[in-house]
Amino acid sequence: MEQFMEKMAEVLDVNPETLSLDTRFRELEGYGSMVGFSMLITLEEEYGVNLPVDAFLHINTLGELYKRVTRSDQ
Amino acid sequence: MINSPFSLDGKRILITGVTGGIGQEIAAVLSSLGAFLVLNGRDAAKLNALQEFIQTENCQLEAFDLEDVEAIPSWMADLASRMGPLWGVVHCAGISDVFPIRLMKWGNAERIMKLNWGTSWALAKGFSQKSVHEAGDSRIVFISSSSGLVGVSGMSAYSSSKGAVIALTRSLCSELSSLGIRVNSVAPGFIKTQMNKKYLNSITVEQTQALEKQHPLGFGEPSDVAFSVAFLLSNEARWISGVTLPVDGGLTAI
Repeated sequence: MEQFMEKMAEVLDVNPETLSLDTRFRELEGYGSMVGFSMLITLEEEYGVNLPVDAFLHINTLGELYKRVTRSDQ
Repeated sequence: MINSPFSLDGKRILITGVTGGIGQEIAAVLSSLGAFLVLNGRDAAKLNALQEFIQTENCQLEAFDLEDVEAIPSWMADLASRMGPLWGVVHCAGISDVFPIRLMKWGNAERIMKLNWGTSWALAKGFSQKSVHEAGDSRIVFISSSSGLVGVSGMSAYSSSKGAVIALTRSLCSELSSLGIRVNSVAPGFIKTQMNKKYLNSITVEQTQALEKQHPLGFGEPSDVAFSVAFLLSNEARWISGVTLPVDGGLTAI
């Protein structure tokens, strides 16, 4: 999980210590469509998770996103 | 009376990246105009499938990975020694990437530049060899991009590489004219290819609509690019060199 949070911090351009599984990433300063797109690309390239954009739009927290990553590992 | 304008009857033309959506359509159009095609891609199986698609025996399949940029000139010399000099080259092979510059790794940016601009440069170098091009009358058409003409967020490396192809086109127009080689490029807007459909699946409906609205005539089809290439190759374009033709539904005009 630590690696996932560091990756997300890099994409979101924030200090990883400011993030938690409850973080509502769309409310972070600087979040926009390009950041969202980058998150989708990162999920695919780093974790092999091909998340449709419609599904991504229904995900609000990093914890919900992390569940997708760990689900794909099973 | 003009007979068969844009005929490419018997002309030997190398097309790279021919298994992609635009390359495939270019191959089909040039084949229908009578050209003898030298079809290049990385994957031999996909090349065989393409030959079945365009339904012609009037072609030669040449699997070669253009990522080996330094080997391109000698590969072209070998092609010409086996089948005779080339009348034209259409370079469609390339890669695209949408990624914010802050997150992009240098290795990815370098690869995009190499595969989009570097291969264009190497193909021109190869084609300029006396044994490779038909003396006095031959032509190159590069596939650039509208994003080489205007800025696009998230495409810093791709836009740069396609802009470099546009500059290369102008430089080669000057340098290769004495050999009778015309050099032009086509700059497509958003074309509905399989690769681009994948991109559309990763953005929202609203973002897709906004992107389409940027094109006064809507999204393009691979055939829009293919016919533009056919025109630039043809003798009807004999006095056109060094240009980049936007084929973009009006995107870069507004």
